[in-house]
Amino acid sequence: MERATTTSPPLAKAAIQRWLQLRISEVIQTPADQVDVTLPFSYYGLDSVATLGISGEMQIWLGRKLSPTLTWDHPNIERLAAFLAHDDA
Amino acid sequence: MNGFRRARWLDRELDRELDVPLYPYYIPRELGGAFVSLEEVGALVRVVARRDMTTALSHAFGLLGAVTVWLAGDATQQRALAGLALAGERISVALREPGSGSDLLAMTATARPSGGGYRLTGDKWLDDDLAKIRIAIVYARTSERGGPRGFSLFLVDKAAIAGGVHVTGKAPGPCVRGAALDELRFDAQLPGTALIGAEGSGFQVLLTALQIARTICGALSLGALDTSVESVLRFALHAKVDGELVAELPHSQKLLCEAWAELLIGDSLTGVALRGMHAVSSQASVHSAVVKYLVSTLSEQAMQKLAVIHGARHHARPPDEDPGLFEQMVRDNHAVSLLDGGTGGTTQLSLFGLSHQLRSLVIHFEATAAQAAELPATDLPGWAHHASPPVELDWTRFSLSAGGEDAVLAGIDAGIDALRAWLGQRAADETSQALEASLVRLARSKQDLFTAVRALSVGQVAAGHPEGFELARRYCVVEAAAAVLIDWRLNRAALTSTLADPAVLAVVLQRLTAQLGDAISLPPQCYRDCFAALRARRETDGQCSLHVLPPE
Repeated sequence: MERATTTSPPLAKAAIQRWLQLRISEVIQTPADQVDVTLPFSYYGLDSVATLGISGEMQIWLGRKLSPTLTWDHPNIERLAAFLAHDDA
Repeated sequence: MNGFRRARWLDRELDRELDVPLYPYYIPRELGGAFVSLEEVGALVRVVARRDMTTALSHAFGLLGAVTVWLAGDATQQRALAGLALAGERISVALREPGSGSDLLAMTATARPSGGGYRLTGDKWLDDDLAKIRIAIVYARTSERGGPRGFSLFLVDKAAIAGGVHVTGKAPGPCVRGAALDELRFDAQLPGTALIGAEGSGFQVLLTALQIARTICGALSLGALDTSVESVLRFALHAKVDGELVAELPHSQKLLCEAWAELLIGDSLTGVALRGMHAVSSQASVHSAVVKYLVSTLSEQAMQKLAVIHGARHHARPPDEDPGLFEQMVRDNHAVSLLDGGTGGTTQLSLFGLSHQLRSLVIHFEATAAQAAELPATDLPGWAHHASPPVELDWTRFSLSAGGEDAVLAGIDAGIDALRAWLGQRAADETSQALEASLVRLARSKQDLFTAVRALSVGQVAAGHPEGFELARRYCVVEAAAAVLIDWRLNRAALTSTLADPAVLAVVLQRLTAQLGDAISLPPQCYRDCFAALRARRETDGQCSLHVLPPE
């Protein structure tokens, strides 16, 4: 997995959203474009433990520490990407 | 109790053992306790578990409950809990439920806002005897929708809710002999100050506290295994088969050596993990899962081997020289997983959780491989050195994901190289050749594991595909090898009778590679030398552990 090159300025919401769509598309075996960004992660079979794993990979990709429970508080792709795009933590 | 005799002596034993002031050792010093390190806590409960798993488990439950308050409680709650515990009051946890088992997101006991506090209603299992405890940490649903933000933890003082809780029965099924597992019914008004942390944080806090409890589980299993090895060795040294001492039979020696090697692996892994909880706390989600799975599994496998040596006596309790000690340890060790809030399948839960981190762990390892390979021996993590003081524990640094980092595994390539270099300076005897062959297999297995993880899809992991579990299992074994190599590199001056002995190390590496399905057959001399080391260890120190523990 390639690392995101920088965190300043934060990655655009669209790039983060796309990365998450690709991850989910691996889970449900469908093209990434067909992954609805407004549906909860649980809809795609990702439970609270599974999303912790996604957070770990995303942390490496973004190159910065993330709270592993971000997906619990922002439980779909759109909300998580929006949060990360505007979060400098 | 549920078909199992509740021996009265165990009650007396429990009360007597609990009089030993262990509570202070897991209460922070700023709260009046004597906490130094989790490694010390692990060593203490291991000593207790060597004699009596019931007492050790009671302390482990108390520790789990207390840790939730150290992690998320406010200053008033922390002072109150510490004060009560130091005054001799017992703490336990009420997490699981009769109808929901150990699924933390399926619990139905509910705490609803009421009168400035909460109304707690529903049934729970208490991991203790209600009559004997004062404080229970209760896990309850605070949101109808549930989910990871739908549960909270409460610090419940039994004395403050008199009449609000009563025992409705005992948990069904086998449990540790002599241990109580009360089924409770709550209908109690709790003050608002009973809430631990923010409302909805219970699931997260509990998963974090379980990282510590799971690692302490390793110490419990190892205590039971330590007694088992010692007990069966004692038996083998006086029992005869066809006029020959059992201990003189090569097959007996091999089985005893293997069981001892598995004990040493568990000790090394658990010790490194507990020290790592201070120094690399954010990686505890990985280290705790590895310990919980592998130490439980190795202990049970080792006990099965020891049962072969015990033969029919394993089933027919001898009334004279050994009052069923080994049999008791075998039985009680099975129940250690109860601490996790489960029914024996919790080792699989540990693998499932770990499987979700495998991809990030391997990606991170490979990304930093160049630096790791260049680590000289002197750059090994100082925190893993037994003589170094423990890093001050910061409870805020624990995390539910390691973010790909694993400081234990990071040194495995350098560890293999270091041992290989050391072997290059020794005479090329059979033991050296065996060690070299095992190192080749270990390196190959690690690389095969990484390749397989790379090929593992997110979908397979999310769906709980068996491949995810198998790769997580293999990761645990490779991690254990890394821990052994850390101990060998950093601490072998203090391990002259165990890992520093080439024959002992050869059996240890052979057992690890056997778990990876790629083991060599050791030459008979290795087992003879290893068995001699085991006998010497027991005769000199009276123990079989990796390190010499304080006397009981």
